[in-house]
Amino acid sequence: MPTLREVGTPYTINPNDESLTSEPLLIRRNGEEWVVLAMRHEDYQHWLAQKPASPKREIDFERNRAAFQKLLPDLLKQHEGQWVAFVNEQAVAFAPSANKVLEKVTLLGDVPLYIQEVRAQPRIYKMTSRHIARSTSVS
Amino acid sequence: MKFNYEKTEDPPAPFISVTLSHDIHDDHKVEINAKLDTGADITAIPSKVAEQLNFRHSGEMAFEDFDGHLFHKDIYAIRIKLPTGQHGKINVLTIPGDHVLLGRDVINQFRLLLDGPALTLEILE
Repeated sequence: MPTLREVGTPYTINPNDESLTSEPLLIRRNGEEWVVLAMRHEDYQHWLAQKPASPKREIDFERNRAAFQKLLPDLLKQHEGQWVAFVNEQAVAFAPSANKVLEKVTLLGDVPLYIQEVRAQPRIYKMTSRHIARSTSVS
Repeated sequence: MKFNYEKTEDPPAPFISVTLSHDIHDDHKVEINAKLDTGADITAIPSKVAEQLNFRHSGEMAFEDFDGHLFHKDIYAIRIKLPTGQHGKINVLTIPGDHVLLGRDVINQFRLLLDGPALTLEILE
């Protein structure tokens, strides 16, 4: 069973204490119970990569998409036919293909982004396999 | 580098094994079979792999399928590594099923020899 410890005064945690990695540590802070988890850095990175996309990421995605739609008339004047990546509602990279623009934004890290081609009407890509499950119908 | 066709497909089809990972956090990977699909403009991956590795939602594209129906689908950023050791970051759509459809966005990077009678696929240098 987890151990409940009162955090009234500072105390030291021994990183070699095996109980830290075998069970969560329960502490009390301002009358509320908190859970402290200790895990290897590698496992923490795994957990970060595995956790589901947060609603905030999808909200940021929608904001980037809205920014693209808003700026499209201006983008068409100088970048028609190119691909653009939006991050933080700003156009941050242009390239001749979707994959090349993705490579360009790698340095920004795991941030919400929106990649789209600068065209007045979206290009229609062909997928001839019967494996494709339709999503939102265009017409 | 030579590969045998997948004979459980009828008729047999050219497959290779590819490794997929998150485009930024590439410490967790999935090795998966990929069918070469010259009719696909864009590579497609199983949706369960996209969920498992939490790929980044990177945009959306409009598609036309085999019977001319138009539809929109989300695309995701991934890192793909081929058996030749070549790797890159690409945008993919998701599909049901358990194998990748390797589209011409990837296929066109290589010289390929499809030997139908011998049921082999060779990636030429």
